[in-house]
Amino acid sequence: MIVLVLKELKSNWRSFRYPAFLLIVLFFAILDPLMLKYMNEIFDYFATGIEMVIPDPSSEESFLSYLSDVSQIGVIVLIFMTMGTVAREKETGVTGWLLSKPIGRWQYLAAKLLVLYAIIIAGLFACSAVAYLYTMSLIGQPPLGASILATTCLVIFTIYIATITFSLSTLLKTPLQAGGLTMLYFFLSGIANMLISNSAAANFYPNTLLSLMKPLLDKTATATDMTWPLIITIIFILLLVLLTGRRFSLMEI
Amino acid sequence: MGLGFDYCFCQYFWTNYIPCSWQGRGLKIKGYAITVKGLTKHFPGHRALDEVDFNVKRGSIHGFLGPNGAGKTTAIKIILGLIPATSGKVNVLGEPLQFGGKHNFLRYLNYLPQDPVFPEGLTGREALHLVADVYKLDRGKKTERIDRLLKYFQLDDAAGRRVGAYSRGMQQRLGIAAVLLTEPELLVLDEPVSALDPEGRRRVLEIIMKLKGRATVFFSSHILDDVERVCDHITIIDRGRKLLDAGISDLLNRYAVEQYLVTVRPDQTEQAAALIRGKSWVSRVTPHLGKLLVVSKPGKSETISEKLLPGLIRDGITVTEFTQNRTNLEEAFFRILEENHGQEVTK
Repeated sequence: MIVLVLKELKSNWRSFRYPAFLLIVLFFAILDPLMLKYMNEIFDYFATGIEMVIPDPSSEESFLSYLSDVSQIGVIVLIFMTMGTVAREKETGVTGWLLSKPIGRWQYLAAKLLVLYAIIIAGLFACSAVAYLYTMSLIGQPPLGASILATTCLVIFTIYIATITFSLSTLLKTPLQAGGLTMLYFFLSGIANMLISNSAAANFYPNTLLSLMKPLLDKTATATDMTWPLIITIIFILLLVLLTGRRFSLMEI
Repeated sequence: MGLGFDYCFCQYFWTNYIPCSWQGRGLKIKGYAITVKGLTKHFPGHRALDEVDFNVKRGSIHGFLGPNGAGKTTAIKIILGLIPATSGKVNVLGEPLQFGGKHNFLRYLNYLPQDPVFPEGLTGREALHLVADVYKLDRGKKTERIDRLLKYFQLDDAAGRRVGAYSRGMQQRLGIAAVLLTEPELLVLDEPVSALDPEGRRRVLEIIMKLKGRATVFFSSHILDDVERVCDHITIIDRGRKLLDAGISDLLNRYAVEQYLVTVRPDQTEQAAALIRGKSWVSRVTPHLGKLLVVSKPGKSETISEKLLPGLIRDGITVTEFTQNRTNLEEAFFRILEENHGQEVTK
């Protein structure tokens, strides 16, 4: 298992897939606090002759801006980076080659998921720490507990989308099919979230985790509010992994 | 004190890359390495394999032949547990194959695909280390074997480069090195020499030949000369059906046609040709560069070798040269395919 995990890390690192995702997240972690801090100066420089007064940003707004950007652009980049995780190897024959060796099919998938989740969890928490510290030095200190909770919402949602991409990559033939379908789901689920956000169904909907990031930072929501969406999303993730693994264990390679 | 037999034996084999440690279980355990019974595989709208039976003896070099699309790779994938069979039974190294189940035999088997592939981004050396680690090779042995193999296959200079940048021939050499690295009991090789230059081909075939009795080699190839050189048993399939399963010498005796080049006194050429044509065991006689090329009927190769020359002399023909043209598997192979196609047309 460790052998496969190391191989997965090496392959993804050298192909620049995971570094690309981390660099995008880091880019927002550094850029967003800076942009908000100097927004007035930026407008003065580019829109000369027009008088605009933008209220000073709060530290919560700055941190939320980073989280929102990652939850949109960061997640889209991640979909592109992970859509070939299994599909590409199936296409090239690497999966068949590996599975002809003493490697179980569950082991093969587990190594990939482990690396994917580790990169998401470590990368997002590390970049959130950078965004937090940078916001603190430029604007002011965002509430620490709320920032951790909001980041947790983002991490779990990102893992959820990554799991969908991974599952489709395992079950479908090409990376493009996997990426395309996940993107479609991502946009449709966003629209559905707007429609059900005020209903009781929102409690059982993974996208609610993203909607909770702002109220958590505003302190209009508490950790209790994220319990159900969090539990439901984790259950979805586990179900997806189980169903994908079961299907893959009987799949023609 | 002189060097013992074991030492010399090891030295000799190491220079050809077969280590003396490679004993496998091929010689210790009798029976079959692979048994296939009634193997059938249907894909939607296409029958890839139809009731195929064959056995691969332990310690043998078993060729698996057939034209493109015959079902060779499908059969290999079923044996490896990568795809399920529609029906039939497969037993590998004494273990019944059950698709989706855990297979211990994979620890003693190593497979070389037709187009060897390696995980993206790995260097040649890292790819071999990955294989060694997957098979849980001893750390000390691992590095030594990897260095030796890289050198033997002339990949030591490229070992630090990513495999993606290798030529097809280099990838095939690395693939073969990856198979040999684990010293498996059963080697399943799908077209192992298709991308190699003559020197690479020679080396690989030499290795395969030396593995006889030490490991079981099951390999598919369309290069019939190679199969004839190294195999002691072959199975031929076409359009998913087994056409033949026989020892190579049996096959040549049964199917191959014998050819002789006969040179006679120039003024007797016509007479000699007419005499030979009249024999029941001769298929055809054609002039060939001032000589007569005599081809036997299938299965009559022994008769022609015994009777042709004495018969000509008895009939007063002065024979100045009588040489055998090499009998080869290629002719037997095509004959078997032709017979099969002929039967299908008749049906």
